[in-house]
Amino acid sequence: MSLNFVYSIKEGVIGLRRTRLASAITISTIAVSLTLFGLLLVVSFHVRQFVEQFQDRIYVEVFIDTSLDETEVASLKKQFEDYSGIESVYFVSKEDALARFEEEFGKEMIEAIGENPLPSSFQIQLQKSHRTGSDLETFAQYAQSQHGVDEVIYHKRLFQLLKQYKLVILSGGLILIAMVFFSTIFLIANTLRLTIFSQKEIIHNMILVGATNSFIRRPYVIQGVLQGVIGGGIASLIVLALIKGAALRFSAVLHDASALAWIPCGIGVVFGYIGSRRGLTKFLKT
Amino acid sequence: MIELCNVWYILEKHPILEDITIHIKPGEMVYLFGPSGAGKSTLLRLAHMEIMPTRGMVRVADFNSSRITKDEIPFLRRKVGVVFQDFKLLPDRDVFDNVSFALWATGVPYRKIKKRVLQVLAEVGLSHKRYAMIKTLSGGEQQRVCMARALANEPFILLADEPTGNLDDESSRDILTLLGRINRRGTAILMATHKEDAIHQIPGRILRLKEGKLMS
Repeated sequence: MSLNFVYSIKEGVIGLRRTRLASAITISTIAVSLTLFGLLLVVSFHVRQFVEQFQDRIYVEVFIDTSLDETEVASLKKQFEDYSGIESVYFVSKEDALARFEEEFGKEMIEAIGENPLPSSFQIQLQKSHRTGSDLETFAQYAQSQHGVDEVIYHKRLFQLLKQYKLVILSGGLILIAMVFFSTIFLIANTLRLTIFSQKEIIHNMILVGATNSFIRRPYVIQGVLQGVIGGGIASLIVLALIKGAALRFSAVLHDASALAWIPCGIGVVFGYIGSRRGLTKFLKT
Repeated sequence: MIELCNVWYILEKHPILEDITIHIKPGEMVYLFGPSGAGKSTLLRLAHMEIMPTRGMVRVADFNSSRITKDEIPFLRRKVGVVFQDFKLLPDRDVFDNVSFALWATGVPYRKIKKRVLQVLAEVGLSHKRYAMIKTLSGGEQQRVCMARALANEPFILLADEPTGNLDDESSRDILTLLGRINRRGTAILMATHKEDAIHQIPGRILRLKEGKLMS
């Protein structure tokens, strides 16, 4: 490592102390804006996951005639499995259906009736690429036309709603992320520029005593990166703490988004580097 | 050493310097004397290529204004020491850091930097203030720090732009004595001043500048 580089690192670190007020403002700005960005990223990630999950839960339920014997049921299952675009066919026997019903509503109702009134059924999931309105409709019609099929049900209305709003939710989220992202860039770049602007005279004096542009630039860029690391690091820790806190309360519905928490720190480093470099350009022309 | 040939400097159609030709030899003491607005500072700025002539040529050692690139200018400035009227120090650093900055910029190892800084601080009589912050120094002391910084790289010429302009009489005398000592050791000095008494303290050639024109 060259002596000049060691000097630059030392000056970059000391520079934080020399410009402590400006640095504190820059770090706070980076921390606040990247915390907001990080939280938006996590929220958007969960919304996307919920929508995907919701879509995965849409299946076609085919109720079959109680008089069908095991061979006929197996043959029907085979027919559905061979249908193009089917991901899984799951057989729910009368007993399984009863167990599910009792788990959800209790035993009293069935005991009052005296016998198991629930029919056997197939829960059929279409492949992701076939989960469109027309494919579901076509398959439902196909299933209905099979021998031994009593009734075919799928959540047509729910599917239509999801289809209608999925694009709005996801693209809205993306637009919001992009807007916050660009506002964050703008805010951080200008805060860094102001910090460097406060050093304008000093930079000019350095030029006059024979310092090269790269020699002047290095400590400021190191200082910018350090501000980015600290500000972004604070944002990452806040986001991570909130993710962990939320996971404790809503562990059943939330996915692990811890990896996303480190994005603000990474962005802080990159913005710190680019922002300080760009901020100096104007003063290093002569 | 330093040569200005038919130099013109025109700013917004207004000539600040007109057809200036000067040649400064090694070790020479030259005064640039004239009232405020005569173009003295502009001439010094041209001599360390902070600005470039509109017409004509400035040559400093091997550097020629008509051929020099932007990247070469810092290397020229390391050969020319500049003392400014308003000092142009780094106010957020101490005396040692201000003087050593010019040496760090040239890639000198720390041991040599320390030795050289202590040497020039002793020369300007500021060894005892080496860790003092710039803001705590008097005007005369700040000017001596500025001189120490200018001398750190052992320049062949010192350009002094009204070095006593912001100082009281006693501090001015100290600075002029110091400049005389530096000149006697062989460093050429080009000093701009508007004070008549300043030009009699050290023997030297006087160039009179009036309204951008050289009078003698």
